[in-house]
Amino acid sequence: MTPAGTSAKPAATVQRAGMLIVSGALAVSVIVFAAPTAMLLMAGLCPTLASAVADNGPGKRRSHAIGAMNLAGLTPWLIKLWSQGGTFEAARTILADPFAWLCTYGAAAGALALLWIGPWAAAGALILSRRRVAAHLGHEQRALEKEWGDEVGPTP
Amino acid sequence: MKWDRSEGVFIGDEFRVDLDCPLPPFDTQGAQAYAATERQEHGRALYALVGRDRLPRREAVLSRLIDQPLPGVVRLLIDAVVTLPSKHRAWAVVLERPEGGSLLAHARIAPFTEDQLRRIVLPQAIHALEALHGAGLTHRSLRPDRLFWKDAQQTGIVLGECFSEPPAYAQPAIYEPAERAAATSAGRGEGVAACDVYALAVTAVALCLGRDAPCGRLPDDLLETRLVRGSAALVLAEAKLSSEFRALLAALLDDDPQRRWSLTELRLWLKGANPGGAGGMRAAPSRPVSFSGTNFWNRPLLARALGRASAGADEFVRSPAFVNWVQSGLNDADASRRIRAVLAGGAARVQADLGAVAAIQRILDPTAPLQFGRAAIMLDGIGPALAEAWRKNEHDLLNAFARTFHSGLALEAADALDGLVGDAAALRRQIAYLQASVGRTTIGWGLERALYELNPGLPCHSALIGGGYASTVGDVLRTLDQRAEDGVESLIDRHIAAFVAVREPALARFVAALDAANDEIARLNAELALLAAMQWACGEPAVKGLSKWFAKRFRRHAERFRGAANRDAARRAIDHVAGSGDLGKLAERTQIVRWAEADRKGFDAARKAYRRKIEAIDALLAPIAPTDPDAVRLGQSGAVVVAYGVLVAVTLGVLAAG
Repeated sequence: MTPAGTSAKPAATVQRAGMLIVSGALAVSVIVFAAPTAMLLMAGLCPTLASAVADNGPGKRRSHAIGAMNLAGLTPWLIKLWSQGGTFEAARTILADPFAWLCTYGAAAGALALLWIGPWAAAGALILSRRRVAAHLGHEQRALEKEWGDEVGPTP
Repeated sequence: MKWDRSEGVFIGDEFRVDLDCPLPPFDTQGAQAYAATERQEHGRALYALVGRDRLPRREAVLSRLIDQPLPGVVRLLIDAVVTLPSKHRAWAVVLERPEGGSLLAHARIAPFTEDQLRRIVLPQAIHALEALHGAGLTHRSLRPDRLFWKDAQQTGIVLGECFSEPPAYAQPAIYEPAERAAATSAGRGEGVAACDVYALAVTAVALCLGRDAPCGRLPDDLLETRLVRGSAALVLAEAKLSSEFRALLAALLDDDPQRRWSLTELRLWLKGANPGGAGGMRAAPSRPVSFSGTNFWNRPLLARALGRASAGADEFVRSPAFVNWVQSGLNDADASRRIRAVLAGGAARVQADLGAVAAIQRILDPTAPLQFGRAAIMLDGIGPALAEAWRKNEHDLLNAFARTFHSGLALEAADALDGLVGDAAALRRQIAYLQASVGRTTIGWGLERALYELNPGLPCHSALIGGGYASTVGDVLRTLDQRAEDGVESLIDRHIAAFVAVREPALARFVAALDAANDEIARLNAELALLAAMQWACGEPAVKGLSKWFAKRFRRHAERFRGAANRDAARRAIDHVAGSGDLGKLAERTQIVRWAEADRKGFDAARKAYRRKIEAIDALLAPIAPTDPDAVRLGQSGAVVVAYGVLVAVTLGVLAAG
């Protein structure tokens, strides 16, 4: 019988390999059957790919944020491509439009801004939350003092 | 005297003591005599004795006389504790009053003749004494003013009471056999039948002379003379008697208890028979020994001289002159061997504390009283002597008691009596028990334990009882109930603990628990447990003073509880039972020790919790930077959520616009 501690790693590896095979199959299908869409995606999602490669943090939160915002910036143009028949001509027109690049890469830059502002905002929120908890503990201390007298606290 | 319920002191419903009518001829050292009457007229004169000065009574004699009257002994009708008009309590007894007056009063007017003594006094006294001795008792107060004509017609005599004071307490020394005469008045001991025989002979001489004692010299001088010349020579010196009667009295006054005639021999003599000579004498030394310029032929005299010598005695007993005398002049192989053993260090236990002199004194004169410091006390008189020392607050003597028991000398003295007195084994057992009791310093033991063990009817001598009279555990409880309201700070002292342990042995474990109480609150709880047990054992009704006293102290301790809720709960529980007077309920409902422990533990837990909260608050109020891992994690997670939100919103927006 395989020990429980050693069986988890091979299982994750198998799962990741499966995901790569599925993703690879989807990418090949898109390239083969929707080449203009694939061309637009590869050009527009370069920041996402770059962050996915560089992000080693737990949960890959940075690449998730950049990817979501990058895709949000690209989505109107994908829908425009598909509404114009999904042709190479339509894709070329979009890629030639600087505003499309601005939207797509600007959104990815927005994600970076969010990732910079987030910890500041979180630190503020944490301070407020912890002060509230500390105030509650202070109330509990006063209740102990009321029940057991001042001696219950630290001797001066 | 007419029965009137409104006056006097009453003993039960039957007897009344008339305190306005004292009867000094019946007074004793331990009690005052008053006229008494009874509700039902039986045509007999009565008198009452009311105890004073807390002298120990002879309980064995009293209980025997109250159970069953003895012929020729004044009849005892009732024994009780009464409350006097002064509010003091005292024991009181009612006895039949001999109406013919004392024989001393008679003799002062008309001294008795030999014939009167032979026909009336001696036969009737023998009859009474035989009854007393047959009951295992001794009189020990036989003298002319304690012998009475039983009626106005002087048809017979009765022996006066002999239980209201310690044995021979008020006897002039000449009425005591030589071996007991040197003892202090309280320490003369219960004695044996031969002591009464001796006193009867002296009484006979006094009645012939018409005065209360045949000799009037100082006791110490008298004793030395008795040891040198013999008591008979001294007592009979002034009496004008026939040679036959003189020989009888000389046989009754023999200083050697083993040679002294008994009542049987006296009876035979009165019937005209000649009982013959008595047993052999102890061998006298074959030559004298010189000490302090005096040649001693007499062993008891030498023993006395050694004891009284302030210096030089120890040096003397180790001198070659004394050692040679012991080897070749003492004429007693056993005594010689034992003295040499003492000098060689064989009795190291005794020597270590009191020196060889004391041990040698005992060997030279084993029946002499034992020296406790300056006081000489017979081994069977330790109880009353101890009571007397306490009554008079003689701390030096009390310390001497403790030292002598501790040294083992008392036990050595008891051992030395083997073969010389009839109940030597029982006496030895008693002394061994006392030695062990006195040696224990814990509460409930020590000299106090010995005091109450040896004096069965003695009231409690505790300072907490004060001037009150508490002869039973119930009395002690009642007195403490009254004293508790005076604001005393403790209710149990060494006397009360020992008294209760002796009088109610079932409560001894509660007394022992007092010693285990190692702080104020545990001690208070142990005192409550003991007093509750006393209340239960005596079936005593409510003792509200005591319950309030304990409630007050418990409340004081409860106020020191740190926990407010604990204080409130304790206060409520204490107030609920404070006035009940039921100490058992108070002990059950007020678990002050347990509460105090719970409060202490609660406080410790609260302190720990408080400290933990301080640490938590300090941690919570520490500054947080955006680089803090928590802030980074939370901030990035927030950014992810916003980003996905934007993606969904844009997608939906574009689809809606399209």
